[in-house]
Amino acid sequence: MITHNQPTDFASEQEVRWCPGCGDYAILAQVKKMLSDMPLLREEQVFLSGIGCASRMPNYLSTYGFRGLHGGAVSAAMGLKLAQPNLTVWIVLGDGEGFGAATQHLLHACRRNVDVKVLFINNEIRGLSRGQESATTRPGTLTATCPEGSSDNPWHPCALALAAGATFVARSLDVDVDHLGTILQRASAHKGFAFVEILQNCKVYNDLVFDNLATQHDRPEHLIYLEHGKPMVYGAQNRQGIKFENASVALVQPNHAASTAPSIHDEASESSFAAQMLATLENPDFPECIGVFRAVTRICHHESFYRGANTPNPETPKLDLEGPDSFPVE
Amino acid sequence: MEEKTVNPGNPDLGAPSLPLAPAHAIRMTGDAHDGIAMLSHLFALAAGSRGYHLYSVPEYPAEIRAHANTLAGVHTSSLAFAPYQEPIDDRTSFLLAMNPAGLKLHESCLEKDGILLANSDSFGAEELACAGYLENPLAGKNQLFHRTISVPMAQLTNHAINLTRAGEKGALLSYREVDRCRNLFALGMLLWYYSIPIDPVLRWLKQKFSVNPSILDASQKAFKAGFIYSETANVFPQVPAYHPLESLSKKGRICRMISGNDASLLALKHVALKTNRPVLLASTSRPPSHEICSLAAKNTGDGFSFILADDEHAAASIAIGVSYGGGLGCTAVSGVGFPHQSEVVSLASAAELPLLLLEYQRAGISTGLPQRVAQSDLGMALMGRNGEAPLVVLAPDSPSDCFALTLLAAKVAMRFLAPVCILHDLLNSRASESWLIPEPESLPDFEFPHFASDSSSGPYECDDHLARPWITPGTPGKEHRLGGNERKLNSPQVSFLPQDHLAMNRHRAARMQRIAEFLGPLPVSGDNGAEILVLGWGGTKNVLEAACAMAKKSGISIAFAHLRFLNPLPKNMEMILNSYPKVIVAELNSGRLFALLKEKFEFNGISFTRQDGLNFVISQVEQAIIQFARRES
Repeated sequence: MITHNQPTDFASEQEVRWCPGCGDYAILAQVKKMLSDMPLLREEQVFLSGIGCASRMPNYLSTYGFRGLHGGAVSAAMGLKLAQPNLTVWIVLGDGEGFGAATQHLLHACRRNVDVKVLFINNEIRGLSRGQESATTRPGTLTATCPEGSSDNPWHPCALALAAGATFVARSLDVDVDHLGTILQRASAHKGFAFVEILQNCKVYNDLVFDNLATQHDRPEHLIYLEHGKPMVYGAQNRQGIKFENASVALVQPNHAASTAPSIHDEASESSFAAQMLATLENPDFPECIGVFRAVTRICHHESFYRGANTPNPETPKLDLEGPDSFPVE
Repeated sequence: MEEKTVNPGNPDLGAPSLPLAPAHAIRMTGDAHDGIAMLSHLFALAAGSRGYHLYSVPEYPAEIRAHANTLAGVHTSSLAFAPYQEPIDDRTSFLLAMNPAGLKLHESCLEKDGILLANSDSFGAEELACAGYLENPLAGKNQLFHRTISVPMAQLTNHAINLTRAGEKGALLSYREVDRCRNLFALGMLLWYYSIPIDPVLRWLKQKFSVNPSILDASQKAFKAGFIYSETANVFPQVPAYHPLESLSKKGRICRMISGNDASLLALKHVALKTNRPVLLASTSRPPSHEICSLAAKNTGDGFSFILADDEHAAASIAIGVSYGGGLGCTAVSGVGFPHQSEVVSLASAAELPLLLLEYQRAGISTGLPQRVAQSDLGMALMGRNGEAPLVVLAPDSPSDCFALTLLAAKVAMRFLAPVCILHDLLNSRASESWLIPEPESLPDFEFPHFASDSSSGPYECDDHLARPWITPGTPGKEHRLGGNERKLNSPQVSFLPQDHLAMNRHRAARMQRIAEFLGPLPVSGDNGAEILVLGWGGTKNVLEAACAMAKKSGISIAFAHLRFLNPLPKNMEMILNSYPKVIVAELNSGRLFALLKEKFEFNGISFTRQDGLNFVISQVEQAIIQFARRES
């Protein structure tokens, strides 16, 4: 058996061609690192994608790769997983495709708990079509097709995946490489549908859109690092926190009083309601959350699919051409 | 030109034969609760056991639950049986009308001297009004047909079954259950009229209702009562003298009535068993492709599985994912769902992956007329892609041919790693016919050299069929990337260079020519040096063949060919077209195949079409042939 335990073992022969300064370089590096750190065979890793800047990633990896249609990767991955359930199947989606052409397929894959890992690379702009708005572009953004600023309300990707029933939902940052590496490893280990939103900077068309989160100095003031079983606090010396209150989220300043105690994050909660609230928090009114929103175990799609009538039965492989209504000619 | 060069594959086909005894066409019609489908099925079972060849086409209303006894709720089954394979024509010699609405819709199809058998219990004032009759058409001065046999089937069924009156205390069956047996009473009458033994039906009933002795008893009583009543009441004017021929050499062999959908599914299951690779049908539920979905869901196992996808794009994408994983991904689609899958077909062409599209044509544009017959998607299948993405297009010529052709389509898809479309129409998918079950050893194998994962070739290096090795994820040391981007020939390198694009276009076109060689030539039957060739495709074969036989009786020297391979066209297509002074291309659309042939080849021909959602009529085709043959060219 050939072992591949260096990130460079996962680089393909293709020259990497993203714009200088693109956040995808950091993400690609962390994906390769994750693959080399995990006890996984290279031939059993498959990356699928569609069309878009982020979708080039399978071409740059030395695993199996399939770069198909705009919006078609999720369903193709589902078919692949049914044909070969033992493979580890990854999907790379940008926000333009992921919540454009692929939306319906993505949401159905969530509810079915298809055992695939989605890297949802969100820079809130369509890069390959030269800076057009996507479903995650925030209002007021100047785009090629909204010269006076986008006016539509954006989706919150993680909240949508949670509402659709995804069993693993997490968010990370392209520039926070350690955190990203950890999240990728957890997604890889998850059994079922894993949705990882990676906030990524598009240097050319939407530069600095996550600057409040990306700048290391400001990050603690704007971000909560979610940790299972721990209070949701942030800021210098963790002097601020958030608390679930009356089906919404309130800011608190912990001071040992019960009424100001921050809520404890529970990623294993049966209900995804609290996780959905966390996934919609935005600066400047609230801190934004990164980390694992939800990680629960459910039966995977290929398991339930092959548990019923579709079960292969190699012991009696006989084709019954006659059927119940055949008759001898008398 | 010698005949043998025109007809290299089938020297013994000879002229289309006229049946020695004419075919019988029966039409059975009634309301949803009249059990027309079961009646037709059991009639076919019994007649098939006697050695007749049967062909039946059901018609359902578009409404799921139409109001009782309305025209919108009529169910019909048209059935032809004969010693030879026979078409359904739009004329019938026997009409069974279980209610006035059924009669109203089909009265114009009954021959003047045909027999009308009617359930008079359903011809009350209310039912007549629902059907739009002002007076009773069964009797009196408004009687439509002089050979009308009016039988109170509901009453007679009730009398036959009820020793204890239905619905009363102590009764084993409800009124409704007793009433529903009247289709079996009608079946008994039909079998007596055609001298068909009743034992196969009794066996079937015993098997079907073994868990419910009360229903079994009632069914048998109703059925036998119909048979006996025909004899004792002497209701039929004469007994037809049609008997099956012993020369069919079917005696002792096992037959079944098989619909095109059943045949397609059997073929897919055979592929799964023979290849030991997963075969998955992914589809949405768009009529009429929804019919094979329901069948597939009940017939999974042994490597064949079915998934109901959430839209057509998802269905085709799931299928291509299965093929990428080393299985055979299939999808069933109809109407405007077909263009949704066009880009997946293009991807399969570009990535060189097998993909099997079971396309079910229907009449109309947009939602159209999903329950009507048309050969409406040939243009879409041949042209409906961007760029030069080829799609292999095949069309079965009969219900049972769906078995053979689906096997062939799967073979092409897997051997050449190419997308293949099977164009069905309602005449070969929904219709049923007698099928002599093939011997298992006669079925094709599916072993190809490029299945081997230890191939020394790289994943893009083509063999002599111009197909690349089918290396699937999970194979160590062969990791590679596939996709929709253009690339260099025999290389994984994505390339946007003009010369590479040209080379790949030529490569894909050359592979289609290899597929044409693989599929073989088009056989022609008929007269040596015939003056006219009739050319068709799809489920119209038996009608066209019968029309040729009729025209031949008028002294026309005629040849007949029916295309099963529409893209690539057979390599002898041009030679065949040039071998006859006149060619008629007959199809149920505006003349799509004719236009294609005219664009590619020079020949003297006309297009004969029908576009109203109905099949050809033998006599009309016959007249068209005679007129064209007699026309000065």
